[in-house]
Amino acid sequence: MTDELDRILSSGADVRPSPTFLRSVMAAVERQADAPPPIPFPWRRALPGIALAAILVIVEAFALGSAMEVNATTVPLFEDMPTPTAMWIVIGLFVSAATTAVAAVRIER
Amino acid sequence: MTAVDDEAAVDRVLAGDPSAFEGIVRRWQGPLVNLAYRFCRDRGRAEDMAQEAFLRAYRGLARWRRQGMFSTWLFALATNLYRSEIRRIPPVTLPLDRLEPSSGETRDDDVEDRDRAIRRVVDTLPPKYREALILFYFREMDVAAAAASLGVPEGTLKARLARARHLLRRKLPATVWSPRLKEAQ
Repeated sequence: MTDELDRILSSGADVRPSPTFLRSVMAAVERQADAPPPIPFPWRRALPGIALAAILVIVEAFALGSAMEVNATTVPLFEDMPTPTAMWIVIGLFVSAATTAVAAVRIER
Repeated sequence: MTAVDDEAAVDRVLAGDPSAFEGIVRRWQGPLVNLAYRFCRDRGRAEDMAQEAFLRAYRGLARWRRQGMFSTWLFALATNLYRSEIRRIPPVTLPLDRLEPSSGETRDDDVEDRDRAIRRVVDTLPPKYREALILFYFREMDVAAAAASLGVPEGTLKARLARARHLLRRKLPATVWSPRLKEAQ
């Protein structure tokens, strides 16, 4: 059966490209060649903001951690909030930072 | 056109002559469209997918490291694209019981029905097994080449092939291997 399967699956497809395929690909390549290069992500301008956000997240994470250690329910930035809400905000900040970084890398490519 | 010609064409494209890419398309259009067809079983879509693969190759030519063959790099790139495309929009597959049998008057009709049924079963396999089978047979049963195209170790590919064959045997209805056909083998 394996030999027969080999024969059947080997002869799976013999599709020839249409006569216009080559022309169509080359037209797309020419368009690509004529297109201006992609605008690179403005790392220099964005870096201070990203660094600030990262520092803020780290500081708040530490503050939250130490507040939980001493059994406190609040941290400076989230004074009137219960701890679970503050944690969700920190998680939200982390997710935002991560998605921004991923998007920036993809734009760069 | 040979591997050396491929490399020369790549050099020319990278030096700023996009028309040199035509040689590459001319040489590889057949295999790339064929491979795409094996994934999607739709001629029009296969050409669209192959065109996108060529465009990506054009855009990424500078990333080819020249340690391996150009074709290996091109097939890996195309395979990656085809896999994502098929996962994004899976091809329509008919269940086996909805396959319309031919009149069955001749042995050729029976064989054709059976071959079609087997290909349909392959289309219903989980993606990693289906992709292993597609690449293995497309690369003329060369495990190393198929593994390179899929970006997995050879051992992984062999394991997936064994599992795929096992699933195929389990899924194929008994009618597909009728005594008459077995006699014909």
